Amino acid sequence: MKARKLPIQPFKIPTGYLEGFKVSLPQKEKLSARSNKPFTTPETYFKDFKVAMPQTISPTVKVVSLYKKYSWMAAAAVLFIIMATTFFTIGNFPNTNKDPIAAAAIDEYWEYATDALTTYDMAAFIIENTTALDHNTLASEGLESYLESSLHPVEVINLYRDGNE
Amino acid sequence: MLAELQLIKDLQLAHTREKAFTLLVDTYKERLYWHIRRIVLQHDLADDVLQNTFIKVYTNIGSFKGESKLYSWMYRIATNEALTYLKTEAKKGGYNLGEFQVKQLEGLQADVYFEGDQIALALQKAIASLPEKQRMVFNMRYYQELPYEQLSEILNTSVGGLKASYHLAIKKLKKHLESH
Repeated sequence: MKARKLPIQPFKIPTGYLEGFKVSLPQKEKLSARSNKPFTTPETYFKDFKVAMPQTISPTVKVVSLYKKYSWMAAAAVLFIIMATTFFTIGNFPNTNKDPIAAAAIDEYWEYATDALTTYDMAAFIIENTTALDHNTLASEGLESYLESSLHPVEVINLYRDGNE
Repeated sequence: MLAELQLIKDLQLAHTREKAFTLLVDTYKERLYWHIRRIVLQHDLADDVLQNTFIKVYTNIGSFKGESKLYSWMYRIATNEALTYLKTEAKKGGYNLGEFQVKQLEGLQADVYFEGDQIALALQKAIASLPEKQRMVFNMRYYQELPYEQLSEILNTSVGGLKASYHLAIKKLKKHLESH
């Protein structure tokens, strides 16, 4: 078998380059040349700079929100309490004599709620609305007569051709 | 990127936190300081804000989700801290923010940590006259030479919008310097 001829390498490297190769990691990001001009700082400010951390400070810890996790449980509990309270309250309402003042207040409210509209109020309400209805009726009548006079009379279709009604 | 991920991990774990935080402070203190200093102008205020920024970083590192680079996240904290600090200081003195900044600029001439001549002072006054966002964009782009992509992360604005802001800022500065 004939030995393969290697291609001539056209590139060269400086002598000792690979032996002396080192990765130089940047320690700090370089500041731009005009980053500070025309301001200055005390001579050893950056060298001496230390963060004066308050005694009580501590970094935030990831907190699992109880509110989020248990919100549906809380909602269910509240709903249950409301339903239970309502059920028992309604069920026991007629016999509730433990707090006569509260019961009296509730009675008063119901009286107010149902009797607030006096006969006079009702009458006034009806008259007002009837007047409004009358206006509407007049308007309707006017509209009807207008339609009757303006539109071409429509021939009445006799559905009973034989005259049998 | 791998180094940053490792640093974040170390900051979030109790037994590696202190060492990682020291490394974090050492790496970013200078860049953050100059960013803050451009906003608040005076060294003492910048020092206070830098302290507050690192404390905020330390206390909130647990909630850092890695949606942006750590560096951009810290820049955002620093920006917010600086602006809030300025507003609070202005309020304390009974000034609005604009009046407070004018007062600060007047004090620059006497500031031992300001080495600018009349032209530098005029430029600082012109920068202070810019609207807040344009001022931020100009400072970070011109002085700190941050790429638009990073500015976009920090200021939560599109690259196109930032380019427009920078262009407008340059135009306004030129106009301001010509008329003063």
